[in-house]
Amino acid sequence: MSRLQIIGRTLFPSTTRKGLLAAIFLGTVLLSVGYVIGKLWLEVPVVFLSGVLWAVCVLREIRRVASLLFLVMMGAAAAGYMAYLSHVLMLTAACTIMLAWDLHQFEARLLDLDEPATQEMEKHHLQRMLIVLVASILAILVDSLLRIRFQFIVLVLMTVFIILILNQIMLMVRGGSKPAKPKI
Amino acid sequence: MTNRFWFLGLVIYFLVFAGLAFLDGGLILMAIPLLAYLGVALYFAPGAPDLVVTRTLSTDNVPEGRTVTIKVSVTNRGQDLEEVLVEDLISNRLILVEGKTRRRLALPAGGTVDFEYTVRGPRGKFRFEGVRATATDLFGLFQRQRVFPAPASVLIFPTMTQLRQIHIRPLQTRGFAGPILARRGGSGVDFFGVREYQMGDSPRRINWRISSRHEQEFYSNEFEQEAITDVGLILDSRKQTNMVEHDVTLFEYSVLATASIADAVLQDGHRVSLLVYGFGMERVYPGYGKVQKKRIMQALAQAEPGDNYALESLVYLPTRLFAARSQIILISPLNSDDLHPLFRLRAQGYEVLVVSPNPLQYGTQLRAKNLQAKKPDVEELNSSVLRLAQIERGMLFGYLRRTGIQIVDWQVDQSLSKALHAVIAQPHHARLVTGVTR
Repeated sequence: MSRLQIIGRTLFPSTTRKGLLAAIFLGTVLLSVGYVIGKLWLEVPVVFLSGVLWAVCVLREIRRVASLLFLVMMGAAAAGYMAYLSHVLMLTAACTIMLAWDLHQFEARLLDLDEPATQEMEKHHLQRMLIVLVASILAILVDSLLRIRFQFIVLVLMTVFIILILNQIMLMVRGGSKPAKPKI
Repeated sequence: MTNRFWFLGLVIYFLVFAGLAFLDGGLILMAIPLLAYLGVALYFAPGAPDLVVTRTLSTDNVPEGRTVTIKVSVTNRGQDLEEVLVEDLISNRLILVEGKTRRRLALPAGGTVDFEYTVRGPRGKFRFEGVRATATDLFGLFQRQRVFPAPASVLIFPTMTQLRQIHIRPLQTRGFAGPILARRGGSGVDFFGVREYQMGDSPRRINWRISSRHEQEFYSNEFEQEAITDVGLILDSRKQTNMVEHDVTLFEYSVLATASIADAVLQDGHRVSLLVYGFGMERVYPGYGKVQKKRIMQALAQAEPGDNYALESLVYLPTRLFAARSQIILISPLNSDDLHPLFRLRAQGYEVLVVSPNPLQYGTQLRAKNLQAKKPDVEELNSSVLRLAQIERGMLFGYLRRTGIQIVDWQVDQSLSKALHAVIAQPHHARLVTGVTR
């Protein structure tokens, strides 16, 4: 990837890149605000720097750190949740961080081939993310509006059930997706 | 499933277990957006791609240094593919000059994508097996991959240098007109002898000086017939002979010499055959002209050095494959074991010319270059060892010259034409075989 191309993409970003930078910014702000409100001052610069680092990596098209920064910021959201910071802020931040991680990988896949993302592909991708975000927001609303108590055993059984379902999904998908090995 | 899927799965598991461990439902709640993301990706997971691939090449054989353009057309016979990466699988020895060998795009049902690219490569045969299609969902969590066959191949011929006419003089010639003096009378320009006048001889051919000494008879001048001959090229592809050091061989120079000589000899009209002796015995039967040149180039394009214990020595050279008393041109760096097989060839009446790329000079230059570039594991060559090797090679050549074999000791950094013509221009006196019949 030439420097000129990188500069070009920085000055004239695609829809995906604009969305990505907005998601990183929003996630960083939400987490920072949450920690500031909770008066956990030490964590604020960590969160802020992670966000800035991620944005810089996006602009310089460094892809490998996306998953690491995703883990760091999700960890910050989870830690904030456990520290009784605003649940809405933490959950919303988690959603935006997930969105940023997804958009970073999506943009990277397209940049790999030096082809601009077709408008159609970007549109479908963003539509799909919207479905995910709506489902996530519903979950957040459920948390804030409803109080549900489970007995611990019920919680364990539900967890086991979720794990079994995930395992079944993996088995089903693995059964149909064996990679092809070409001979040259 | 991709690595991203496993990563996401781990994060979800971790959040769920952390929620259980800390008895905090909020952590499990935090996994819900990720589960929703996974669920949507699963719902829209791609099916196995079903494509029809056609490939066309601009040419199926090309000289080294020229380019080949490949056009690939891919049609989607199956369901809509939101994101598919279509890659043409090419050998890593080919250099991409223009275009791309892969495209990532959305391909609807019935849709077609065409792409074109240009490659260049070294001598050899290159096969294009197929096109790999990887269909992915838009989140990049699930993928299906398949290779669709679209076989094709391209032969890249070796380079060759232009050589002037190679003057050869084997004992046996063929009946067709050509550039070689045939040691028999016929139509030609060189004076051959005088014979009695026969009915039908042109009056211009009458030798009046001799005829004047005889009252009853006339005598005609006879000219030496010029004819073509059989030329057998033998390319030595034994690895132990061609290896200079580690993975460096002289074989490419041998191939270049063989291709150049074949071209020059075919242009003179001779009947040429080729034997590649080394890993196996690849044979091109005798023939003439452009068609034969193409056959020889095809064989040379696919020739590779190799080891075969059964063919370690030239002793097993199948000489009966060459016409009796024809010209044999052996292209080989030679080693000391090759003396007796070459003597045998001379004893059988073949006229032998050996073109020998010099491994010592090549190895020395290469080593000097590597030392200058400060490459690791390169030692300076002991000058006494080099001198001994050169003396040994000189002695080998001396033995061969005494039996009437012409040797071209080719320093590969110099012109082949110069080295070859310096030798064949010299008068060729020493012969073991005598008794030329007319």
